[in-house]
Amino acid sequence: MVYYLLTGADKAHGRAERMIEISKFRAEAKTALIKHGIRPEDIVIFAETDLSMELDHAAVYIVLTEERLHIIEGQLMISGRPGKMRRSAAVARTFIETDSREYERDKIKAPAVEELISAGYLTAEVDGNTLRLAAMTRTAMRDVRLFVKYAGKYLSDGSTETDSDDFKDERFCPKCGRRYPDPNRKICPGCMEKAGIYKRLLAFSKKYRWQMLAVLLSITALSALGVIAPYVSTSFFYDKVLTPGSGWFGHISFVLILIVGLRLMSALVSSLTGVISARVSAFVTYDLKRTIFTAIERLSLSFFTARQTGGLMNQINNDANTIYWFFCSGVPEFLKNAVQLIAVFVIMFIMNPALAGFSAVILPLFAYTVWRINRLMMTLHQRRYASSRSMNSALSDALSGFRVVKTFAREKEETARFDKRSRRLAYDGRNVTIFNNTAFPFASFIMYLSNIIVWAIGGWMVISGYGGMTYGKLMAFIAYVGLMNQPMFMFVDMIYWFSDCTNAAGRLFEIADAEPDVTEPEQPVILGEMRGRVEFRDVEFSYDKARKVIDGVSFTVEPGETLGLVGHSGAGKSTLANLLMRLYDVNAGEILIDGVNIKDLSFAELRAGVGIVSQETYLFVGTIADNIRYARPEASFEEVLTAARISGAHDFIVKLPDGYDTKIGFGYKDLSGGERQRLSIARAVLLNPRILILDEATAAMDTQTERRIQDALTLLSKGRTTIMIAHRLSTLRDAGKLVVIENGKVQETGTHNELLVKKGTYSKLYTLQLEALKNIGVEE
Amino acid sequence: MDNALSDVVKLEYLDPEKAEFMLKNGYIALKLERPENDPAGEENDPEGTESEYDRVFLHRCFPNEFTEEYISVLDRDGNELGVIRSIGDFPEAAREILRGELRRKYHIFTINAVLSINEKYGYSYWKIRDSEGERDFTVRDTYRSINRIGTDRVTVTDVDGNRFEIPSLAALDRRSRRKIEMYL
Repeated sequence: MVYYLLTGADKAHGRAERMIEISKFRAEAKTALIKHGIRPEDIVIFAETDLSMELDHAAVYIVLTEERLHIIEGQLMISGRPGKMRRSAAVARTFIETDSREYERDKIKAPAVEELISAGYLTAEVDGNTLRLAAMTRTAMRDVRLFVKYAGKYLSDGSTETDSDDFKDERFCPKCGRRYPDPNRKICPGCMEKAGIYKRLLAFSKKYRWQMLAVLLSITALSALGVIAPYVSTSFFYDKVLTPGSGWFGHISFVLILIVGLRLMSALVSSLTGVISARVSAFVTYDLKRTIFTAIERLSLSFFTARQTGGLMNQINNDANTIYWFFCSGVPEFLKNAVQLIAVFVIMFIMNPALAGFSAVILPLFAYTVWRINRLMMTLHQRRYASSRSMNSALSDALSGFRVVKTFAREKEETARFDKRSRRLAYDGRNVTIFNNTAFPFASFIMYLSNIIVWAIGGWMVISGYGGMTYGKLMAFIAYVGLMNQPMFMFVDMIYWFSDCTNAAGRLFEIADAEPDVTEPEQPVILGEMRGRVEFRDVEFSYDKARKVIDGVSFTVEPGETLGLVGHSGAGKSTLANLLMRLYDVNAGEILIDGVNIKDLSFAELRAGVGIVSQETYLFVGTIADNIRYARPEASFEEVLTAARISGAHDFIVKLPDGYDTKIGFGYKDLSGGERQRLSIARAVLLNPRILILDEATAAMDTQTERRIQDALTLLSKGRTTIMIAHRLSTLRDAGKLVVIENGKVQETGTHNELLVKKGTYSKLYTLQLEALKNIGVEE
Repeated sequence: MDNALSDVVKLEYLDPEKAEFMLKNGYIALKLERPENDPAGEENDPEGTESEYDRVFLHRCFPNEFTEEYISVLDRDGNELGVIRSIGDFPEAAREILRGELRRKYHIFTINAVLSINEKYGYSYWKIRDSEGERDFTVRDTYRSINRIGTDRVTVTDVDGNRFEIPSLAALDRRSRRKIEMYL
């Protein structure tokens, strides 16, 4: 969607003090509204959307005044296209009205957004009937949602209070008006400062400045040697050694030694350069990766939920590699070639300025050709990359789903699927190679034209004796023209290499710079001994601003009490647990432990005091004992055994040949869902927290095991605050108090018996589950 | 094999004779002749033989393959009232109503030409032309946001969730096709 920044001239003139300006109130809107007798000072809320009721592109003003809601549809004519910077003031906007509707304020109620697949509608109750009032794309939905929020408030109690957070539109780069590609990361690819990126990269290599200097010097030496060699083997050899009368006549062995010596020296210097630069780049990338990893561990959970972990991992690795190769290979090569090219030119100019000029004529044409070839090459490479991705995904699909493939006897189809993609990759690979083998010889041919020019003009110069040209000098010239070839290829390559590296470094620094949303207080309150009283006070939370997942939840759990959280899946129970752990921060309200806001506690104290066993059980690569000890590596073997006993893990662990020393995790012994869950309970038990959250901790177990572990957990929860979240209500039979959560709100609270008497949601759920059990012949 | 499956569970297709769609305040309402065995309906209204829904929701079961077939009809609470086997089976008036609502619900912008795709840091900035003019949009995770349906149709989803469609790659001009090709 096009979004142009306001120019100074656009800024609304004389807008009413109290207008809630959700979308920019521009001059053309003002003009359009005056035609309807609406003055800016009459407007209470103003918003703009971008689709007509027929879902065509349009400009639609949604205006709420004290008396009416106006919807004015029209087309926006923009004359004088905005420039690249989108700041150009030479833009005239005219609004041409096509349709308008208005509704009495008293007759409208409950404005809302109806979300469809791609578009959406603003709806409201008018005279008791829900009507669609205006349409919008997803882009305009943010503004309409805000309109709904404020209009709802204003229509119900006339309040026009605003929350300033709502008016920071952070979706667009303030510098160029371009859309941030990721709303969670305010990074504009267009405005990212490239110089800054390189400065930071250099800062990483500062430690190695002496080595880098050595690399630089040796590269210069290398280029110099490379440039001297042709001179010795051509001009010097023909004109001095082979020419009677010169001082060097006949000294063939000397020339041979000189040439061999030069070659040997360049080989030595070259390997030296390689060794140093490999060391420096390897350590620079190591430092870089470490910085990034530290940054990642510091970030809040929301950073990861917004992107795929696998993608992130790949990105970091690939980017670090790109930077590595750029510095290890790209920069030295570039320097070598640059020095070489300059040296070649200087020597050629000294030898014969006119011929040097002629030999450079072809260079621009050559550079252009190589640039075009590279662009085509990129497309081909990208295509091959896409094919290889698709082949790899087919491969990993078939291998990880091997059991399913076998059970449904789909081997043939899988083979065919793989074959198709593999063949495509082969074709694309062939295309790349064919192109490589035709395009580059062609480019070399163009460069060869330089040689022809030098042969022709140089030959004539030797015959006519113009400018003191000799046969040997001509030979040297030809050798030098050949030396220009490689640097030219290299420079064009370098453009891409350079931009790849900038991109990679930009992405990495972006991660390093991301701010965690959940931050530790600078001066935390020290609880000392946690008693374990938990209080939720009017807690509100949403993952994105649009939809509240938790809406005004309040409850308390006294120390040592067991609280059961009940509700349909998706009601927000696990979110409450995440909030108590401060994996996310509440949007409004507060969560208190022993009367202290958890935002004032240090992470160490909070997470030592609150333990969670969740549905998600992640086991790290290592032994079973290591995994149990994860949160308390100093725990004794006896403690590990006890924790495993309580969680019911001990029984299966002792049956394993290597017992607690069995290696598990990626690539090692595979545990069943129930076993994994028992280990993760053991992990939490070992932490021995004052407050224990059991989030569907026993969901993956059979009823018998669950019952056993439940009994153990009941013992464990004696004297500590426990919050239990469960689907199976039977799991919660020991909870002293139950809180029923529905759509993010507390529906009802009470003991099991109290709630049954109430005949509300809980009693309905209970009856349902009881019936289900009865049906299969089980009585609770 | 098919017969055996449908013996177990019957898909509830809406019978054009027994289901009447109409517009109510711009929304679709449905009058449904109650099947003989419907305890829930009888409980609410023991006398009547019809159930009335002042608002129903349509959902394409196979949005990629069928635009007018296999449309699930849901009530306010998301309970399925039945499946429309094909809109064509319904009378003209109902067809109009259903098509209108589906068009709104599955609204998608049509891309007539791709003017440029600029890729930066894994994101891409698109400039396209649709029937009404040029537009820009931003796509995150370009490969995954482009969905190829069959061999010829492509949809693109931008950062906000707006959807764009190229109905036929073959019908696209060569330059546009070249620009999008490498993401397919």
